[in-house]
Amino acid sequence: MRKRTISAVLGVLGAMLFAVGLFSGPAGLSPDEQWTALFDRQGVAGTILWDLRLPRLCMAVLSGGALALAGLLMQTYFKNPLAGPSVLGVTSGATLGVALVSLGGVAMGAGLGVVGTVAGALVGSWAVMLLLGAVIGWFRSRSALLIFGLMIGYLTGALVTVLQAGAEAGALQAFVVWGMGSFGHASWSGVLVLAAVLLIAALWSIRHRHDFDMWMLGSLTARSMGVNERGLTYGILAMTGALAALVTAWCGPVAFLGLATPHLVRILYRQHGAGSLIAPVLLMGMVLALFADWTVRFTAIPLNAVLSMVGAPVVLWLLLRRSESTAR
Amino acid sequence: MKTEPTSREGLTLHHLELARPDLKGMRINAALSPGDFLVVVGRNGAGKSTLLQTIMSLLPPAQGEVWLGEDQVAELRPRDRAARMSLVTSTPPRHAGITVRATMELALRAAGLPVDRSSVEDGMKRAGIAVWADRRLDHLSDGMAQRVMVARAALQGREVMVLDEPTAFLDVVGKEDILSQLHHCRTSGTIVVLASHDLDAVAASGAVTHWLHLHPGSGLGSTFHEGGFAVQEAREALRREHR
Repeated sequence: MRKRTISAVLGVLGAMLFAVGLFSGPAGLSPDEQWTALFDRQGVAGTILWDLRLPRLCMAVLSGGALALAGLLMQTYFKNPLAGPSVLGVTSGATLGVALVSLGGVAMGAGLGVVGTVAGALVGSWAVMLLLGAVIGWFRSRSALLIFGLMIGYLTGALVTVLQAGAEAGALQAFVVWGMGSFGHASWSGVLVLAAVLLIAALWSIRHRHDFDMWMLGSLTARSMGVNERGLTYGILAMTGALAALVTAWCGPVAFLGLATPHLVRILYRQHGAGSLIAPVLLMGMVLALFADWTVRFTAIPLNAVLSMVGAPVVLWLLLRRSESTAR
Repeated sequence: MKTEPTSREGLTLHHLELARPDLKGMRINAALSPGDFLVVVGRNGAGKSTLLQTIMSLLPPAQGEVWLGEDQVAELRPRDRAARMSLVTSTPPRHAGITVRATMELALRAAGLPVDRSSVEDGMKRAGIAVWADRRLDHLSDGMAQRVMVARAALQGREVMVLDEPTAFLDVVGKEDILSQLHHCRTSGTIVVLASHDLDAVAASGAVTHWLHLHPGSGLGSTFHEGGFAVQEAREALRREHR
Protein backbone atom coordinates (compact mmCIF):
# COMPACT_ATOMS: atom_id res chain seq x y z
CA MET A 1 0.00 0.00 0.00
CA ARG A 2 2.69 2.42 1.08
CA LYS A 3 4.59 1.58 -2.08
CA ARG A 4 1.62 2.39 -4.32
CA THR A 5 0.85 5.65 -2.56
CA ILE A 6 4.41 6.88 -2.89
CA SER A 7 4.54 5.85 -6.55
CA ALA A 8 1.29 7.69 -7.21
CA VAL A 9 2.56 10.84 -5.49
CA LEU A 10 5.82 10.65 -7.43
CA GLY A 11 3.91 10.12 -10.66
CA VAL A 12 1.71 13.17 -10.07
CA LEU A 13 4.74 15.23 -9.07
CA GLY A 14 6.56 14.15 -12.21
CA ALA A 15 3.59 14.99 -14.42
CA MET A 16 3.30 18.40 -12.79
CA LEU A 17 7.00 19.15 -13.27
CA PHE A 18 6.71 18.02 -16.88
CA ALA A 19 3.71 20.29 -17.47
CA VAL A 20 5.39 23.26 -15.78
CA GLY A 21 8.50 22.67 -17.87
CA LEU A 22 6.46 22.46 -21.03
CA PHE A 23 4.27 25.52 -20.51
CA SER A 24 6.58 27.98 -18.85
CA GLY A 25 9.78 29.65 -19.91
CA PRO A 26 11.45 32.90 -20.80
CA ALA A 27 9.72 33.19 -24.19
CA GLY A 28 6.62 34.81 -22.69
CA LEU A 29 4.12 32.82 -24.69
CA SER A 30 0.47 33.08 -23.74
CA PRO A 31 -1.34 29.94 -22.54
CA ASP A 32 -3.61 30.02 -25.62
CA GLU A 33 -0.66 30.22 -28.00
CA GLN A 34 1.05 27.29 -26.30
CA TRP A 35 -2.07 25.16 -26.19
CA THR A 36 -2.73 25.55 -29.94
CA ALA A 37 0.98 25.14 -30.78
CA LEU A 38 1.04 21.89 -28.85
CA PHE A 39 -1.36 20.40 -31.38
CA ASP A 40 -0.64 22.21 -34.67
CA ARG A 41 3.12 22.67 -34.13
CA GLN A 42 2.94 25.98 -36.05
CA GLY A 43 4.83 29.21 -35.64
CA VAL A 44 7.38 30.31 -33.08
CA ALA A 45 5.42 28.74 -30.24
CA GLY A 46 5.35 25.45 -32.12
CA THR A 47 9.11 25.52 -32.58
CA ILE A 48 9.75 26.39 -28.95
CA LEU A 49 7.46 23.67 -27.67
CA TRP A 50 8.35 20.92 -30.11
CA ASP A 51 12.02 21.58 -30.83
CA LEU A 52 13.22 22.97 -27.52
CA ARG A 53 11.06 22.19 -24.52
CA LEU A 54 9.67 18.76 -25.34
CA PRO A 55 12.94 17.11 -26.36
CA ARG A 56 14.61 18.69 -23.35
CA LEU A 57 11.98 17.36 -20.97
CA CYS A 58 12.00 13.93 -22.59
CA MET A 59 15.78 13.86 -22.36
CA ALA A 60 15.59 14.78 -18.67
CA VAL A 61 13.04 12.04 -17.99
CA LEU A 62 15.00 9.40 -19.89
CA SER A 63 18.40 10.41 -18.50
CA GLY A 64 17.07 10.39 -14.96
CA GLY A 65 15.61 6.93 -15.43
CA ALA A 66 18.73 5.68 -17.20
CA LEU A 67 21.23 6.90 -14.60
CA ALA A 68 19.08 5.75 -11.70
CA LEU A 69 18.74 2.27 -13.21
CA ALA A 70 22.47 2.16 -13.97
CA GLY A 71 23.13 3.11 -10.35
CA LEU A 72 20.85 0.37 -9.02
CA LEU A 73 22.39 -2.24 -11.31
CA MET A 74 25.92 -1.27 -10.28
CA GLN A 75 25.09 -1.21 -6.58
CA THR A 76 23.60 -4.68 -7.00
CA TYR A 77 26.38 -6.17 -9.08
CA PHE A 78 29.20 -4.84 -6.91
CA LYS A 79 27.13 -5.46 -3.73
CA ASN A 80 28.19 -1.97 -2.79
CA PRO A 81 25.72 0.75 -1.80
CA LEU A 82 28.14 3.49 -2.81
CA ALA A 83 28.57 2.31 -6.39
CA GLY A 84 27.27 4.38 -9.26
CA PRO A 85 28.27 5.34 -12.78
CA SER A 86 29.93 8.58 -11.73
CA VAL A 87 31.58 7.17 -8.59
CA LEU A 88 33.19 4.15 -10.25
CA GLY A 89 34.60 6.12 -13.17
CA VAL A 90 32.21 4.94 -15.87
CA THR A 91 31.08 8.49 -16.56
CA SER A 92 34.76 9.56 -16.59
CA GLY A 93 35.49 6.90 -19.18
CA ALA A 94 32.65 8.18 -21.32
CA THR A 95 33.91 11.75 -20.85
CA LEU A 96 37.37 10.76 -22.02
CA GLY A 97 35.82 9.09 -25.06
CA VAL A 98 33.89 12.24 -25.89
CA ALA A 99 36.98 14.40 -25.32
CA LEU A 100 39.05 12.23 -27.66
CA VAL A 101 36.48 12.71 -30.39
CA SER A 102 35.55 16.37 -29.87
CA LEU A 103 38.91 17.79 -28.73
CA GLY A 104 41.47 15.32 -29.97
CA GLY A 105 39.69 14.99 -33.27
CA VAL A 106 40.27 11.26 -33.48
CA ALA A 107 40.46 10.77 -37.24
CA MET A 108 37.31 8.72 -37.55
CA GLY A 109 35.12 10.58 -35.12
CA ALA A 110 35.83 14.17 -36.10
CA GLY A 111 33.61 14.21 -39.15
CA LEU A 112 30.85 12.18 -37.60
CA GLY A 113 29.41 14.80 -35.26
CA VAL A 114 27.00 13.37 -32.74
CA VAL A 115 27.53 9.78 -33.87
CA GLY A 116 31.23 10.20 -33.11
CA THR A 117 30.46 11.61 -29.67
CA VAL A 118 28.13 8.72 -28.87
CA ALA A 119 30.63 6.16 -30.16
CA GLY A 120 33.41 7.76 -28.11
CA ALA A 121 31.27 7.75 -24.97
CA LEU A 122 30.26 4.11 -25.50
CA VAL A 123 33.83 2.92 -26.03
CA GLY A 124 35.01 4.88 -22.99
CA SER A 125 32.33 3.67 -20.58
CA TRP A 126 32.44 0.06 -21.73
CA ALA A 127 36.22 0.06 -21.34
CA VAL A 128 35.85 1.16 -17.72
CA MET A 129 33.02 -1.33 -17.07
CA LEU A 130 35.15 -4.17 -18.47
CA LEU A 131 38.06 -3.07 -16.33
CA LEU A 132 35.84 -2.98 -13.24
CA GLY A 133 34.43 -6.40 -14.08
CA ALA A 134 37.94 -7.78 -14.50
CA VAL A 135 39.39 -6.43 -11.25
CA ILE A 136 36.39 -6.92 -8.95
CA GLY A 137 37.80 -10.21 -7.68
CA TRP A 138 41.01 -8.54 -6.51
CA PHE A 139 39.35 -6.27 -4.04
CA ARG A 140 38.58 -7.73 -0.64
CA SER A 141 37.15 -4.53 0.79
CA ARG A 142 34.31 -2.53 -0.62
CA SER A 143 36.06 0.78 -0.26
CA ALA A 144 38.96 -0.43 -2.42
CA LEU A 145 36.64 -0.62 -5.41
CA LEU A 146 35.52 2.95 -4.82
CA ILE A 147 39.11 4.16 -4.58
CA PHE A 148 39.81 2.31 -7.82
CA GLY A 149 36.93 4.18 -9.45
CA LEU A 150 38.19 7.46 -8.05
CA MET A 151 41.65 6.81 -9.50
CA ILE A 152 40.14 6.04 -12.91
CA GLY A 153 38.44 9.41 -12.59
CA TYR A 154 41.76 11.14 -11.89
CA LEU A 155 43.53 9.36 -14.73
CA THR A 156 40.88 10.14 -17.32
CA GLY A 157 40.67 13.66 -15.91
CA ALA A 158 44.40 14.10 -16.50
CA LEU A 159 44.11 12.86 -20.08
CA VAL A 160 41.15 15.17 -20.69
CA THR A 161 43.21 18.10 -19.37
CA VAL A 162 46.00 17.23 -21.77
CA LEU A 163 43.50 17.18 -24.62
CA GLN A 164 42.02 20.48 -23.46
CA ALA A 165 45.44 22.13 -23.37
CA GLY A 166 45.99 21.30 -27.00
CA ALA A 167 42.48 22.02 -28.23
CA GLU A 168 41.38 25.02 -30.28
CA ALA A 169 39.30 27.68 -28.55
CA GLY A 170 35.92 26.88 -30.14
CA ALA A 171 36.07 23.16 -29.46
CA LEU A 172 37.33 23.81 -25.94
CA GLN A 173 34.46 26.14 -25.13
CA ALA A 174 31.90 23.68 -26.46
CA PHE A 175 33.50 20.91 -24.40
CA VAL A 176 33.49 22.95 -21.19
CA VAL A 177 29.82 23.87 -21.65
CA TRP A 178 29.02 20.22 -22.34
CA GLY A 179 30.91 19.26 -19.19
CA MET A 180 28.63 21.37 -16.99
CA GLY A 181 25.82 19.04 -17.94
CA SER A 182 22.49 19.97 -19.42
CA PHE A 183 19.41 18.26 -20.77
CA GLY A 184 18.98 21.24 -23.10
CA HIS A 185 21.19 20.04 -25.95
CA ALA A 186 18.74 17.26 -26.69
CA SER A 187 17.58 16.30 -30.16
CA TRP A 188 14.68 14.03 -31.03
CA SER A 189 17.05 11.43 -32.47
CA GLY A 190 18.94 11.35 -29.18
CA VAL A 191 15.70 11.01 -27.27
CA LEU A 192 14.60 8.10 -29.44
CA VAL A 193 17.90 6.21 -29.15
CA LEU A 194 18.04 6.66 -25.38
CA ALA A 195 14.38 5.66 -25.06
CA ALA A 196 15.01 2.45 -26.98
CA VAL A 197 18.09 1.53 -24.93
CA LEU A 198 16.39 2.39 -21.64
CA LEU A 199 13.40 0.27 -22.59
CA ILE A 200 15.63 -2.72 -23.37
CA ALA A 201 17.61 -2.27 -20.15
CA ALA A 202 14.46 -1.88 -18.04
CA LEU A 203 12.80 -4.96 -19.52
CA TRP A 204 15.98 -7.00 -19.15
CA SER A 205 16.32 -5.90 -15.52
CA ILE A 206 12.72 -6.70 -14.68
CA ARG A 207 13.11 -10.11 -16.27
CA HIS A 208 16.14 -10.79 -14.09
CA ARG A 209 14.87 -9.12 -10.91
CA HIS A 210 14.95 -12.33 -8.85
CA ASP A 211 18.46 -13.09 -10.07
CA PHE A 212 19.56 -9.74 -8.63
CA ASP A 213 18.22 -10.66 -5.20
CA MET A 214 19.87 -14.08 -5.37
CA TRP A 215 23.12 -12.38 -6.42
CA MET A 216 22.97 -10.24 -3.27
CA LEU A 217 23.02 -13.46 -1.20
CA GLY A 218 26.53 -14.10 -2.54
CA SER A 219 27.90 -15.08 -5.95
CA LEU A 220 28.36 -18.74 -5.10
CA THR A 221 24.95 -19.01 -3.47
CA ALA A 222 23.40 -17.32 -6.52
CA ARG A 223 25.06 -19.80 -8.86
CA SER A 224 23.86 -22.70 -6.72
CA MET A 225 20.37 -21.24 -7.04
CA GLY A 226 20.60 -21.45 -10.81
CA VAL A 227 21.73 -17.90 -11.66
CA ASN A 228 23.82 -17.69 -14.81
CA GLU A 229 26.74 -15.68 -13.45
CA ARG A 230 28.31 -14.90 -16.81
CA GLY A 231 25.02 -13.81 -18.36
CA LEU A 232 24.24 -11.58 -15.40
CA THR A 233 27.72 -10.05 -15.39
CA TYR A 234 27.87 -9.27 -19.09
CA GLY A 235 24.26 -8.09 -19.05
CA ILE A 236 24.85 -5.62 -16.24
CA LEU A 237 28.18 -4.44 -17.64
CA ALA A 238 26.70 -3.88 -21.10
CA MET A 239 23.48 -2.24 -19.89
CA THR A 240 25.01 0.14 -17.37
CA GLY A 241 27.84 1.02 -19.76
CA ALA A 242 25.39 1.85 -22.54
CA LEU A 243 23.02 3.83 -20.32
CA ALA A 244 25.77 5.91 -18.74
CA ALA A 245 27.47 6.48 -22.11
CA LEU A 246 24.36 7.65 -23.93
CA VAL A 247 23.38 10.05 -21.17
CA THR A 248 26.93 11.38 -21.01
CA ALA A 249 27.16 11.85 -24.78
CA TRP A 250 24.03 14.01 -24.92
CA CYS A 251 23.86 15.63 -21.52
CA GLY A 252 27.46 15.72 -20.31
CA PRO A 253 28.87 13.86 -17.29
CA VAL A 254 25.81 14.06 -15.02
CA ALA A 255 26.76 13.62 -11.37
CA PHE A 256 25.08 11.86 -8.42
CA LEU A 257 21.75 10.85 -9.97
CA GLY A 258 22.89 7.24 -10.37
CA LEU A 259 24.31 6.97 -6.89
CA ALA A 260 21.71 8.85 -4.90
CA THR A 261 18.41 7.79 -6.49
CA PRO A 262 18.39 4.13 -5.32
CA HIS A 263 19.07 5.31 -1.77
CA LEU A 264 16.23 7.81 -1.79
CA VAL A 265 13.97 5.01 -3.02
CA ARG A 266 15.16 2.65 -0.27
CA ILE A 267 14.47 5.28 2.38
CA LEU A 268 11.08 6.33 1.01
CA TYR A 269 9.75 2.89 0.10
CA ARG A 270 11.41 1.09 3.03
CA GLN A 271 12.42 -1.66 0.61
CA HIS A 272 15.98 -2.88 0.61
CA GLY A 273 16.13 -5.62 -1.95
CA ALA A 274 17.31 -5.15 -5.51
CA GLY A 275 14.66 -6.62 -7.77
CA SER A 276 11.68 -4.89 -6.19
CA LEU A 277 13.36 -1.51 -6.59
CA ILE A 278 13.64 -1.42 -10.38
CA ALA A 279 10.36 0.31 -11.18
CA PRO A 280 10.45 2.76 -8.24
CA VAL A 281 14.06 3.65 -9.05
CA LEU A 282 13.15 4.43 -12.67
CA LEU A 283 10.26 6.62 -11.53
CA MET A 284 12.28 8.41 -8.86
CA GLY A 285 15.16 9.05 -11.27
CA MET A 286 12.79 10.61 -13.77
CA VAL A 287 11.18 12.89 -11.20
CA LEU A 288 14.54 13.93 -9.74
CA ALA A 289 15.91 14.77 -13.18
CA LEU A 290 12.82 16.83 -14.01
CA PHE A 291 13.17 18.64 -10.71
CA ALA A 292 16.87 19.28 -11.32
CA ASP A 293 16.13 20.58 -14.82
CA TRP A 294 13.41 22.85 -13.46
CA THR A 295 15.92 24.25 -10.97
CA VAL A 296 18.46 24.75 -13.75
CA ARG A 297 15.99 26.63 -15.91
CA PHE A 298 14.76 28.94 -13.22
CA THR A 299 18.03 29.69 -11.47
CA ALA A 300 20.49 29.42 -14.38
CA ILE A 301 22.81 27.30 -12.23
CA PRO A 302 24.44 24.53 -14.34
CA LEU A 303 22.99 21.05 -13.92
CA ASN A 304 26.03 19.46 -12.31
CA ALA A 305 26.25 22.26 -9.79
CA VAL A 306 22.61 21.67 -8.81
CA LEU A 307 23.04 17.90 -8.57
CA SER A 308 26.28 18.14 -6.62
CA MET A 309 24.82 20.61 -4.14
CA VAL A 310 21.99 18.17 -3.47
CA GLY A 311 23.82 14.89 -4.06
CA ALA A 312 27.00 15.38 -2.06
CA PRO A 313 25.23 16.03 1.28
CA VAL A 314 22.95 13.04 0.63
CA VAL A 315 25.95 10.74 0.14
CA LEU A 316 27.75 12.14 3.17
CA TRP A 317 24.64 11.60 5.28
CA LEU A 318 24.39 8.03 3.98
CA LEU A 319 28.01 7.36 4.87
CA LEU A 320 27.57 8.64 8.39
CA ARG A 321 24.32 6.78 8.94
CA ARG A 322 25.72 3.56 7.55
CA SER A 323 28.85 3.56 9.66
CA GLU A 324 26.61 3.99 12.69
CA SER A 325 24.14 1.18 12.01
CA THR A 326 26.16 -1.46 10.19
CA ALA A 327 29.80 -1.22 11.07
CA ARG A 328 30.58 -4.52 9.38
CA MET B 1 3.07 -30.50 6.83
CA LYS B 2 2.70 -31.43 3.20
CA THR B 3 4.11 -34.63 1.82
CA GLU B 4 6.64 -33.91 -0.85
CA PRO B 5 6.02 -35.28 -4.32
CA THR B 6 9.68 -35.52 -5.41
CA SER B 7 10.99 -39.03 -5.55
CA ARG B 8 14.31 -39.12 -3.76
CA GLU B 9 17.43 -40.54 -5.27
CA GLY B 10 20.92 -41.39 -4.12
CA LEU B 11 24.06 -39.30 -4.55
CA THR B 12 27.13 -41.01 -5.96
CA LEU B 13 30.67 -39.67 -6.28
CA HIS B 14 32.36 -41.86 -8.83
CA HIS B 15 36.17 -41.79 -9.14
CA LEU B 16 36.01 -38.06 -8.53
CA GLU B 17 39.24 -36.10 -8.83
CA LEU B 18 39.24 -32.38 -8.04
CA ALA B 19 40.46 -29.79 -10.51
CA ARG B 20 43.10 -28.22 -8.32
CA PRO B 21 46.75 -28.94 -9.13
CA ASP B 22 47.78 -29.72 -5.54
CA LEU B 23 44.92 -32.20 -5.14
CA LYS B 24 45.86 -34.26 -8.15
CA GLY B 25 45.60 -37.98 -7.59
CA MET B 26 43.13 -37.75 -4.73
CA ARG B 27 40.33 -40.08 -5.82
CA ILE B 28 37.00 -39.76 -4.09
CA ASN B 29 34.31 -42.44 -4.10
CA ALA B 30 31.16 -42.29 -2.08
CA ALA B 31 27.60 -43.53 -2.30
CA LEU B 32 24.79 -41.99 -0.27
CA SER B 33 21.12 -42.86 -0.01
CA PRO B 34 18.22 -40.57 0.87
CA GLY B 35 18.44 -39.62 4.54
CA ASP B 36 22.20 -40.10 4.75
CA PHE B 37 24.31 -37.49 6.48
CA LEU B 38 27.92 -37.23 5.30
CA VAL B 39 30.55 -35.21 7.13
CA VAL B 40 33.62 -34.24 5.14
CA VAL B 41 36.71 -33.78 7.30
CA GLY B 42 40.24 -32.79 6.38
CA ARG B 43 42.99 -30.34 7.24
CA ASN B 44 42.93 -26.78 5.94
CA GLY B 45 43.55 -26.86 2.20
CA ALA B 46 42.60 -30.53 1.89
CA GLY B 47 39.98 -29.62 -0.73
CA LYS B 48 36.76 -29.66 1.27
CA SER B 49 35.32 -26.52 -0.32
CA THR B 50 36.55 -27.58 -3.75
CA LEU B 51 34.86 -30.95 -3.30
CA LEU B 52 31.57 -29.39 -2.25
CA GLN B 53 31.57 -27.01 -5.20
CA THR B 54 32.44 -29.89 -7.50
CA ILE B 55 29.53 -31.90 -6.13
CA MET B 56 27.26 -28.93 -6.90
CA SER B 57 28.86 -28.78 -10.36
CA LEU B 58 29.89 -25.17 -9.73
CA LEU B 59 33.44 -26.32 -10.45
CA PRO B 60 34.29 -28.92 -13.07
CA PRO B 61 36.07 -32.06 -11.82
CA ALA B 62 39.46 -33.07 -13.22
CA GLN B 63 38.04 -36.56 -13.60
CA GLY B 64 35.10 -38.66 -12.54
CA GLU B 65 31.44 -37.88 -12.14
CA VAL B 66 28.79 -36.92 -9.63
CA TRP B 67 25.47 -38.70 -10.05
CA LEU B 68 22.12 -37.88 -8.55
CA GLY B 69 20.05 -40.98 -9.18
CA GLU B 70 20.08 -41.54 -12.92
CA ASP B 71 21.31 -38.03 -13.73
CA GLN B 72 24.82 -36.76 -13.96
CA VAL B 73 24.80 -33.47 -12.02
CA ALA B 74 27.07 -31.72 -14.52
CA GLU B 75 24.52 -32.35 -17.23
CA LEU B 76 21.55 -30.95 -15.33
CA ARG B 77 20.42 -27.48 -16.36
CA PRO B 78 21.33 -25.04 -13.55
CA ARG B 79 17.66 -24.33 -12.83
CA ASP B 80 16.84 -28.03 -12.63
CA ARG B 81 19.82 -28.68 -10.40
CA ALA B 82 18.77 -25.82 -8.13
CA ALA B 83 15.43 -27.54 -7.61
CA ARG B 84 17.14 -30.70 -6.36
CA MET B 85 20.39 -29.58 -4.73
CA SER B 86 21.22 -26.58 -2.58
CA LEU B 87 24.36 -25.02 -1.16
CA VAL B 88 25.11 -23.07 2.02
CA THR B 89 28.45 -21.27 2.17
CA SER B 90 30.44 -20.44 5.29
CA THR B 91 29.81 -16.70 5.12
CA PRO B 92 26.25 -15.49 5.63
CA PRO B 93 25.07 -12.75 3.28
CA ARG B 94 25.88 -9.38 4.82
CA HIS B 95 24.74 -6.97 2.15
CA ALA B 96 21.35 -8.34 1.17
CA GLY B 97 18.57 -6.06 2.35
CA ILE B 98 15.69 -8.39 1.52
CA THR B 99 13.58 -9.80 4.32
CA VAL B 100 13.73 -13.35 5.65
CA ARG B 101 10.35 -14.00 4.03
CA ALA B 102 11.58 -12.72 0.65
CA THR B 103 14.64 -14.98 0.97
CA MET B 104 12.40 -17.98 1.45
CA GLU B 105 10.36 -16.91 -1.57
CA LEU B 106 13.56 -16.79 -3.61
CA ALA B 107 14.22 -20.40 -2.60
CA LEU B 108 10.87 -21.44 -4.04
CA ARG B 109 11.56 -19.48 -7.24
CA ALA B 110 14.98 -21.08 -7.59
CA ALA B 111 13.34 -24.47 -7.18
CA GLY B 112 10.75 -23.59 -9.81
CA LEU B 113 7.96 -24.06 -7.27
CA PRO B 114 4.90 -21.83 -6.95
CA VAL B 115 5.54 -19.03 -4.47
CA ASP B 116 2.66 -19.51 -2.07
CA ARG B 117 2.37 -18.13 1.39
CA SER B 118 1.82 -21.43 3.16
CA SER B 119 5.01 -23.08 1.84
CA VAL B 120 7.00 -20.06 2.97
CA GLU B 121 5.36 -20.04 6.41
CA ASP B 122 5.84 -23.81 6.78
CA GLY B 123 9.50 -23.55 5.81
CA MET B 124 10.10 -20.77 8.31
CA LYS B 125 8.24 -22.59 11.09
CA ARG B 126 10.15 -25.82 10.51
CA ALA B 127 13.42 -23.92 10.84
CA GLY B 128 12.23 -21.89 13.80
CA ILE B 129 12.84 -18.58 12.05
CA ALA B 130 9.24 -17.44 11.65
CA VAL B 131 9.67 -14.75 14.30
CA TRP B 132 12.20 -12.97 12.07
CA ALA B 133 10.01 -13.18 8.95
CA ASP B 134 9.95 -9.45 8.30
CA ARG B 135 13.46 -8.59 9.41
CA ARG B 136 16.13 -7.69 6.88
CA LEU B 137 18.94 -10.20 6.34
CA ASP B 138 21.60 -7.52 6.81
CA HIS B 139 20.09 -6.64 10.17
CA LEU B 140 20.41 -10.20 11.51
CA SER B 141 23.42 -11.50 13.40
CA ASP B 142 25.66 -13.97 11.56
CA GLY B 143 24.13 -16.87 13.45
CA MET B 144 20.58 -15.83 12.66
CA ALA B 145 21.41 -15.13 9.02
CA GLN B 146 23.07 -18.52 8.68
CA ARG B 147 20.00 -20.27 10.09
CA VAL B 148 17.95 -18.45 7.48
CA MET B 149 20.35 -19.64 4.78
CA VAL B 150 20.00 -23.25 5.94
CA ALA B 151 16.22 -22.89 5.95
CA ARG B 152 16.44 -21.35 2.49
CA ALA B 153 18.51 -24.29 1.26
CA ALA B 154 16.12 -26.81 2.85
CA LEU B 155 13.20 -25.21 1.04
CA GLN B 156 15.03 -25.05 -2.28
CA GLY B 157 17.03 -28.19 -2.99
CA ARG B 158 15.16 -30.91 -1.18
CA GLU B 159 17.12 -33.92 -2.38
CA VAL B 160 20.66 -32.87 -1.49
CA MET B 161 21.90 -30.12 0.83
CA VAL B 162 25.58 -29.25 0.60
CA LEU B 163 27.00 -27.11 3.40
CA ASP B 164 30.48 -25.64 3.58
CA GLU B 165 31.27 -25.00 7.24
CA PRO B 166 28.00 -23.23 7.88
CA THR B 167 28.79 -22.96 11.57
CA ALA B 168 32.26 -21.45 11.16
CA PHE B 169 31.27 -18.00 12.45
CA LEU B 170 28.74 -19.12 15.04
CA ASP B 171 28.69 -19.49 18.79
CA VAL B 172 27.84 -22.74 20.58
CA VAL B 173 24.10 -22.23 20.55
CA GLY B 174 24.14 -21.18 16.89
CA LYS B 175 26.03 -24.36 16.02
CA GLU B 176 23.58 -26.56 17.87
CA ASP B 177 20.64 -24.86 16.19
CA ILE B 178 22.03 -25.39 12.71
CA LEU B 179 22.97 -29.01 13.37
CA SER B 180 19.56 -29.88 14.76
CA GLN B 181 18.02 -28.15 11.74
CA LEU B 182 20.14 -30.41 9.51
CA HIS B 183 19.22 -33.45 11.57
CA HIS B 184 15.61 -32.64 10.86
CA CYS B 185 16.27 -32.35 7.10
CA ARG B 186 18.00 -35.70 7.15
CA THR B 187 15.14 -37.46 8.88
CA SER B 188 12.76 -36.16 6.22
CA GLY B 189 14.86 -37.85 3.54
CA THR B 190 17.32 -35.19 2.39
CA ILE B 191 20.93 -36.17 1.78
CA VAL B 192 23.14 -33.82 3.81
CA VAL B 193 26.79 -33.25 2.89
CA LEU B 194 28.55 -31.12 5.47
CA ALA B 195 32.15 -29.97 5.61
CA SER B 196 33.17 -29.06 9.13
CA HIS B 197 36.05 -28.57 11.52
CA ASP B 198 33.69 -28.81 14.47
CA LEU B 199 34.14 -32.53 15.00
CA ASP B 200 32.70 -32.57 18.52
CA ALA B 201 29.62 -30.53 17.72
CA VAL B 202 28.95 -32.64 14.64
CA ALA B 203 29.40 -35.90 16.56
CA ALA B 204 27.20 -34.65 19.39
CA SER B 205 24.35 -33.97 16.99
CA GLY B 206 24.04 -37.72 16.46
CA ALA B 207 22.89 -37.16 12.91
CA VAL B 208 25.92 -38.36 11.00
CA THR B 209 25.72 -41.64 9.11
CA HIS B 210 28.86 -41.44 6.95
CA TRP B 211 32.13 -39.57 6.96
CA LEU B 212 34.73 -38.81 4.36
CA HIS B 213 38.31 -38.02 5.23
CA LEU B 214 40.26 -36.04 2.62
CA HIS B 215 44.01 -36.44 2.91
CA PRO B 216 45.66 -35.44 -0.34
CA GLY B 217 49.30 -36.36 -0.81
CA SER B 218 49.19 -39.27 1.61
CA GLY B 219 48.92 -41.91 -1.06
CA LEU B 220 45.42 -42.97 -0.11
CA GLY B 221 43.73 -39.75 -1.13
CA SER B 222 40.42 -40.12 0.61
CA THR B 223 38.71 -42.55 2.93
CA PHE B 224 34.98 -43.09 2.95
CA HIS B 225 33.59 -44.46 6.20
CA GLU B 226 30.12 -45.91 6.46
CA GLY B 227 28.10 -46.21 9.63
CA GLY B 228 28.31 -43.36 12.06
CA PHE B 229 30.90 -40.77 12.83
CA ALA B 230 33.74 -41.90 15.07
CA VAL B 231 35.05 -38.58 16.28
CA GLN B 232 38.06 -40.12 18.03
CA GLU B 233 39.04 -42.05 14.95
CA ALA B 234 38.63 -38.95 12.79
CA ARG B 235 40.79 -36.90 15.12
CA GLU B 236 43.50 -39.58 15.14
CA ALA B 237 43.40 -39.82 11.36
CA LEU B 238 43.80 -36.06 11.01
CA ARG B 239 46.71 -36.10 13.46
CA ARG B 240 48.51 -38.89 11.61
CA GLU B 241 48.66 -36.82 8.42
CA HIS B 242 52.12 -35.56 7.57
CA ARG B 243 51.73 -32.39 5.64
